[in-house]
Amino acid sequence: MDDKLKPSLAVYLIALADDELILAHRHSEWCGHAPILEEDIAFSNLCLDEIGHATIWYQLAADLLGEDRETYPDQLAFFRDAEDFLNIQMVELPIGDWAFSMLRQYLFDAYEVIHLERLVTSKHKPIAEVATKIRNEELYHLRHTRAWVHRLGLGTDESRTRMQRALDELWPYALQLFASPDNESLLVEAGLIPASTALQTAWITSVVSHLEESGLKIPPVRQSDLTSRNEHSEHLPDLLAEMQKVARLVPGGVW
Amino acid sequence: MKDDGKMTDTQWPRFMVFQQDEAGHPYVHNGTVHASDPEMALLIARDIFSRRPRAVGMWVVPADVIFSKTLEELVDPSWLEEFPPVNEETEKRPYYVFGKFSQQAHCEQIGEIGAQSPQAAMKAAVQTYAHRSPLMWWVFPVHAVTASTPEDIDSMYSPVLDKSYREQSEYPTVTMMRQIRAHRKLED
Repeated sequence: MDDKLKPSLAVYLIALADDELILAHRHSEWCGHAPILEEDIAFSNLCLDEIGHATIWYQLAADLLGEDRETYPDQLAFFRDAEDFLNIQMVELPIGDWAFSMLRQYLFDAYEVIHLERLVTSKHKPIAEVATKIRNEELYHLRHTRAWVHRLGLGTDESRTRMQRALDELWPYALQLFASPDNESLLVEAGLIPASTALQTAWITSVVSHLEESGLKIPPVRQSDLTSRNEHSEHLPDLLAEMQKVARLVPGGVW
Repeated sequence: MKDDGKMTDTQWPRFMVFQQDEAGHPYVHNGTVHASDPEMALLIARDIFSRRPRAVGMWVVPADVIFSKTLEELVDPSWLEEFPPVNEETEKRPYYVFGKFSQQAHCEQIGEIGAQSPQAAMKAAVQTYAHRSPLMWWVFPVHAVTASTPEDIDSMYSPVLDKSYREQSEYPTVTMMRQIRAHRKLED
């Protein structure tokens, strides 16, 4: 790989990891509060998986930047402020109701599976290897959240109303997943990452059919107003304040 | 849940979860989950029961189809009379037979038997597998099982094997607490 592309590729991976970390931390708020005990455990477990994936992507970014892969993930997670995070805004929104969180996780899981299927052929071998591994687990996540979307969409009037409300709110935010990353054309030409337009086409095909089969109407929005991953809502600083509190109290602490 | 106007239980139905730790090993009961339907039960069971123990397959079975008898209950043969006799022409269906071999153990798979009713299956199981002598018997229809498939292993049961939370060394606090306690004992 051309050394000049390394920083851009690292930023791409950090953005991906930030999406996973912030979504997982947000959804971990359901721990102890989910509608039933069994799903409480299952959903928390799924969040742990995502945090594990984020750690792996941060490590690959560390390798590209010549940073220490042992300490870099914690450094990124706990010692950056909101303006330095690169996650999309969808993942930082409050948990809302169960329909909102479950639909958000589904929209993200569907994206992850499509993304990983293409990263498997990345010319940066470590990315291809990690994608191959993580994709298997994401297939399970997607099966889980697909099942919930289907049942809530076709459940009672109330569950369908809540799902439609969640979809109307989340849809424009979800489309930010497909905003062009920095230096996209160079990274795509080098065979390192897939083109965002191709991802969007595949994602739309995948989620639209499932959402419609689940009795939901797709909002008319075609493109997100949100383009920059450097811009965040007021919800991110609050989330970070909690997530980073202990690590910042005792930097380098071990527990 | 059926709405019969007198809803008394708002819980979802209960499913028994059985797990296989290696191909060829018997399935073993490891707990129950509440779920809206068998597919959800199978998905939830993956997160609850296979985080640490190794699994290559899981079954979920509605708890109310499991017909169960302890040794004590079998002593009195009147249980056979509690149920209406089955028509000779009723077709036999396959039933799984499970047994519990000690107070601490979980029910594990013993075999399979054809029978016309759960009671007939129990009777046949007790005769056929008498030599296994479990403390408790379970029988349930094979068709009541919703099972994972071999294709599910890669996405549902293998990823967990690489998780750092399975490693004792990932919990330094446990070691630290042990050292602190040992140190206190010395001081005492």
